[in-house]
Amino acid sequence: MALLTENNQQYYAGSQGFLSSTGLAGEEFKTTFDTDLVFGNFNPLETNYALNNFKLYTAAAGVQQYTEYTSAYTISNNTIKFIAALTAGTSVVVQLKSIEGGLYGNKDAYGTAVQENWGSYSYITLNDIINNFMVGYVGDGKLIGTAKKSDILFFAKRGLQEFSYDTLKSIKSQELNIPPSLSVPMPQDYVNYVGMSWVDKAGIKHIIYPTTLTSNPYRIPLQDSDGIPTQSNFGNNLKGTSQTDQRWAENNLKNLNNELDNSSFWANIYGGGFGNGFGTVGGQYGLQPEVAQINGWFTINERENKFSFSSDLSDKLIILEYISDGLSADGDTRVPKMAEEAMYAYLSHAIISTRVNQPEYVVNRLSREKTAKLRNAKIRLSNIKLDEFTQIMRGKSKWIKS
Amino acid sequence: MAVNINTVYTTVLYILNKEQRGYIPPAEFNSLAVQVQNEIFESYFPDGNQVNRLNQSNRQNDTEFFNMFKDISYKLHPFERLATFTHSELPQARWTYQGAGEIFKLGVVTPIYNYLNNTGSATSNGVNALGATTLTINNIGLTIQAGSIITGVGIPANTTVLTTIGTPITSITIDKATTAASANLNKYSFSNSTGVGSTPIAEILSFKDYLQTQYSSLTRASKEYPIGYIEDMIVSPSTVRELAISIDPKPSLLSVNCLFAPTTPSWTFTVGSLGQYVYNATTSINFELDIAEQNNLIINILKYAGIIINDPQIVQAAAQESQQEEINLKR
Repeated sequence: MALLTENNQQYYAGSQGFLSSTGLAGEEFKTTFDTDLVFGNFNPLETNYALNNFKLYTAAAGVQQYTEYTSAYTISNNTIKFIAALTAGTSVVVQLKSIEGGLYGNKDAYGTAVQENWGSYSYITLNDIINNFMVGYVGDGKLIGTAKKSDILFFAKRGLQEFSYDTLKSIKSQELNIPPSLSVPMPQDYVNYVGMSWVDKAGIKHIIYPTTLTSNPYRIPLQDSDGIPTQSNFGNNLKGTSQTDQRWAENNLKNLNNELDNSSFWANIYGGGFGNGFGTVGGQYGLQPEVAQINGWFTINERENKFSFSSDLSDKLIILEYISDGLSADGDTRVPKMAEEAMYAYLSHAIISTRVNQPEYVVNRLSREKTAKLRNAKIRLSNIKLDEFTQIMRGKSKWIKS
Repeated sequence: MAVNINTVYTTVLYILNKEQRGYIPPAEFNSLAVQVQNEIFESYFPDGNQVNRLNQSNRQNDTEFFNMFKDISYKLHPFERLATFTHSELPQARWTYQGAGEIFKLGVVTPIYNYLNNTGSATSNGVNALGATTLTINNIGLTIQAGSIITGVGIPANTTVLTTIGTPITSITIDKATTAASANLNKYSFSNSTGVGSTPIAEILSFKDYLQTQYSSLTRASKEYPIGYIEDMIVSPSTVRELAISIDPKPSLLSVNCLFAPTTPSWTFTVGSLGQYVYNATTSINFELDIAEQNNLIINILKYAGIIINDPQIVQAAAQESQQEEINLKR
């Protein structure tokens, strides 16, 4: 049985049409989108109307002019039931909300339901993984005779977390502006960062590196004249503001590395005056590669759970690429099909290896399978294409002249 | 197909009479019938477990009619039914079985979570008493399904509508007895659940495992992976202790694939003109066991009949026959 249930119109345009044939009240139409209909209210005047992920349009028989249908209807399991009778021959269209607003009525079905569905075929949900695993790997006569579903759920989620850290594509990123305070909070689903870049007027990314030149102190106790931390009436240390942070924020990086401003024409081109001046980093004993860049620096402020940036990045547009654990939202709990088999292998190994009295050769076999399939998944997800690889390797023969 | 009780009784009588070994009156036969039916029924579980080892060790045959595990599983079919459980909030949110028959074992527990897909609002007409479980609300304007969540001033959280109601003016029976006086003259909102959203399989755990599973953020109960536990308690409106299931999150409906205990077989009669017992097919209750068990029933009843009439030969012959059959089954 084919896995695709949508036709081309449903997938690309996000719309599905029906024809009223009965002319009776209570007529029902069942949509077959991959996307479930989300229904708040039929009435645009009700607050919950905004929850709908679709709009409903009708056109009289023989007329191609669609208008939004705002009279009473209900939705049950993707089936639309009209309370009042439609005239027989009336065309009904369900338009999922789209960035472009759809094709019907005032073309104002604005939303992202259509776009969220695009490309979904390359993923499998964690629920499907678990159900498939129960069917294929658990049962009498199989390696795993019986398993609690909560155990499989636990290992599947743990697997997804581990895969998210080092196997799956890192797709999460935020476009942010650096405020005058020079710090932005960590994203809600942040686990670790992948990269940080500022974006110039041409839209080109310039990588921002973390620095060890400074750090954000975790505790800042207020000290008395003898250097002893002072306490509040509740017995806790009084906290001050970090002078380190303040000094770093006020630091002019030109003084640090005697470099051009990073918004200049020479931005991101290594050279120029790096380390030329005495007193700059590397000025006396030579260039230190870790500071040989002029894109700015960031630190992770664990005290305030923020990213803090160097002063030359103030008001800059940055892109923060990061990884999450794949479990933060329902929409995240999906696995690329390229890694599906690796996930099954992970689950098999996790379940068998945590049980007592399992033959060690079986555990070892599953361990090797898991590793091999994980490696395969990584290679697949690396997206190494021969043509692209060849193009990059052409640079190998380029002569570098001094 | 069930085993006809008259066939069993008459066969038993034929054998006993032919051998001149006495007579079993209906009352005694009925007692033996219950005993033997229960014995055979309860033997399915250890037997099924034993022959399932062939499946576990990958030695089971794949024939159409000679797979003993499938055979025993099939014999349970007269007792396997989907039972709909009833929800009660008192004393705690629990699901109990209020239907006919006695549940012998719980199978797969499938909560049904309806779509919350139709919202509406209406206003109370101000006649609701403090603590009432019935709420009169005007001009609802839409059909409210059982299981819909109702919210409003004076209504406790997670209060649901118990019975489906129509439009436009009606009263709603809700499953909380704690509506406040302020429930009068207020506006209520409904999340009208009209369709089946999902029917996952709930995992029934021990209470300890239930708590531990809930404590873990990775395995905590959800509508995709509900969990529950069972206990024995008095649940309103019942006044006796009974099996109660707690499921989290609370479903709209709860179905459980159950094995029911066999109904009590009974050979009933009318008295004929010569004072003889005449079989009454209308009031008699057949064995619920599958027709394949007719031979076992007769042999085992004969075994007990032999004990009653104190004839060791009957007991021995029946026991040998019964044992031979069991050996063949499990070989």
